[in-house]
Amino acid sequence: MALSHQTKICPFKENKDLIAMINYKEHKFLRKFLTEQGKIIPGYVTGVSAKYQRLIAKEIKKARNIALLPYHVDPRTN
Amino acid sequence: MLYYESMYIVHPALEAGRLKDLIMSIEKSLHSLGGETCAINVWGKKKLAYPINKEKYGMYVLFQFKNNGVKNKEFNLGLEHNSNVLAYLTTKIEDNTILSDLPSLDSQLGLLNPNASESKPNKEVVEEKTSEAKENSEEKVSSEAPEVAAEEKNQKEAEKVSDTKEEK
Repeated sequence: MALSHQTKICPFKENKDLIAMINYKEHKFLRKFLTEQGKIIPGYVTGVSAKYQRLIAKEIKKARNIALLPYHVDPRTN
Repeated sequence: MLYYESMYIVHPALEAGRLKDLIMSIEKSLHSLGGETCAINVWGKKKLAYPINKEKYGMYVLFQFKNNGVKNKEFNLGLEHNSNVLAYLTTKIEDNTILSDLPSLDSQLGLLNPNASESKPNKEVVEEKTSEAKENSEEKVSSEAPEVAAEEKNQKEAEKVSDTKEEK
């Protein structure tokens, strides 16, 4: 018998409305894809497909440029 | 002519009146380059994710426009040289993402600090009163301080003595 294992499904393929949320102005939504330190979480952890991971990474970098998202957060300061 | 939007952060010390002048001057610079304004959305004062020019807060303004892409370089240069603009980002957008049904710029700026003209004088009066009260209280404290302190000391010593007696 084959072992059943949980496969992650891309949230953007399940819900097409979320694709419009991948925008640097929706910084509160994009914060879900950042760690506490401000690093971008890789797609194999969140389950986001490569296509949308590329878009997310680009938009996060735009949001960082305009100070909506941090480049890095030092955990010692909090 | 394509659609673009530029988001810029204005220095937080600017008041509503001066902020409007700045927004209008940026709009004028675009018109001089042959662009057309589509929408202006004032997000308001927000905390920056990291300090820019030692400022922790900034006023976010979203400016959507139609322009010849070749002229965007000059437009960005204008923002770069403006000392009141902390940061800016110009991106290309689709025409279906243009904001509509926005209130006028005056009402957007007015909503940020409602009843600004009415509340200001009251605040000043209150501040004056509080400052006077503080001065009075300080004087009283300074004049009465030695006596009060001496009395308190005596009371405390008496209490201590009584406590120690009870413990014994």
